[in-house]
Amino acid sequence: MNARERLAQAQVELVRALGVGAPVPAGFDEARVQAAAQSLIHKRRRAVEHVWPKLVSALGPDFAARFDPWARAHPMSVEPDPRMEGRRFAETLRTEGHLPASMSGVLLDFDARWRWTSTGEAVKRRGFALILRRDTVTRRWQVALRLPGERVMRWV
Amino acid sequence: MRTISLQGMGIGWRRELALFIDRMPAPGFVEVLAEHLPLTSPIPEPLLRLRERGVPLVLHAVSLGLGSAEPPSPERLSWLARLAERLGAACITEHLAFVRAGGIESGHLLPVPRTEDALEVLAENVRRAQDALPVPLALENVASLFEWPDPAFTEAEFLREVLARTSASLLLDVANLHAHVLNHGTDADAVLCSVPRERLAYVHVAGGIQHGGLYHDTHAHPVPDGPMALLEQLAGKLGPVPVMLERDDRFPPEAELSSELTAMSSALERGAIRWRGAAHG
Repeated sequence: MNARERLAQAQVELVRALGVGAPVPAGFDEARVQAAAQSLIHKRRRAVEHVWPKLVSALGPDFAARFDPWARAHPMSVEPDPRMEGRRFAETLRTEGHLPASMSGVLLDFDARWRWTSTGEAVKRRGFALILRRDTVTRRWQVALRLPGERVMRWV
Repeated sequence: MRTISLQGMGIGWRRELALFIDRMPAPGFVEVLAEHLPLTSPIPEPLLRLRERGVPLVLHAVSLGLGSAEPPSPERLSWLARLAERLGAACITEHLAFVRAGGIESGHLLPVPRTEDALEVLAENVRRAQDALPVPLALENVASLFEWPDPAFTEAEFLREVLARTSASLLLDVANLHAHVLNHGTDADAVLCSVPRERLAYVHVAGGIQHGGLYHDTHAHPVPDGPMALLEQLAGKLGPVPVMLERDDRFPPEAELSSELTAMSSALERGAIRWRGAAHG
């Protein structure tokens, strides 16, 4: 192995310990690495709280309790984007049936403004966009229409 | 080797601080976070106004990962090069850190092992970056809560090696150095002694907090005495150096920011007086 390959192996082991709770590589101070892992989760959570205030208030004290384990199970694979982090977190809540009803319209509005690429990045929509979906709880149809000029009309 | 010639007292530009910075009588320079700038839409107005006032702008990046086993991606480098050109940046600064490995983004600046392997890779990554960037590059020391096992170099030796093996300048963060003194018992004086004036681009000062027996470099708390003392010590060795305040979160009232800038300027002056005394005594 050359220097790059040796370094790559060491860095992957460390990042997995920090990001997804894999075992702390030999030789490291385990408590320190755990403290760093915790502070990375806090950083992700604070960033999501900042851009998703409605999700924070809808979940109340449950927010941190639900976000932290979610973040550990869903490491970031593209550059940090709290907008997408929050959206992915909300999607997990939705599929698990934990999404507060008040968030349904907020997500629809978000989806009318942003689309996700196959790599998981958020791209601003342009021009007309129509979002149509059936709410999993109420079984009602929801419609959002994005108009040119960033205006979004919703029928929830 | 291209030297970076900034001067005076600077500040990290954030939208929340735009008004405060607009009102600063004569900022020495202003540092802008590359990842905060829009890709295609125009550069924010307040930054253009600063440029018109003749305030040098520095482009500060956090996502290149120069300490990563993977070489810096050509896409990221060309994005940074384009931004530097659009901004008219005096220089680009990045960290002696890695941010991703094996398909996982850490979302944070992680320390590189202080080993021969890491130095070799880092020097090659820096060379690739310099080839792709239109302005000089400076590298910043980072703060961490843990250390890699079995370091082959002390922090001072590692910095000296980085400077010897690359032609990049150094962005010395005295708050990060303060964190390492508290968290790892780093010899701050040895680190300060390893910085040649002509390789020093500028200095970062920021606040943090002691929590759970560790010092966390938060950029959200007041600057403690430690970094100020290190700044004074550095000026005692090198004379007046360009320095800036970094604040990223929990933005305080203007009076508090002003008093931190004043305290930094006093620390610099106290150090510079000793430096002048030593030079003439």
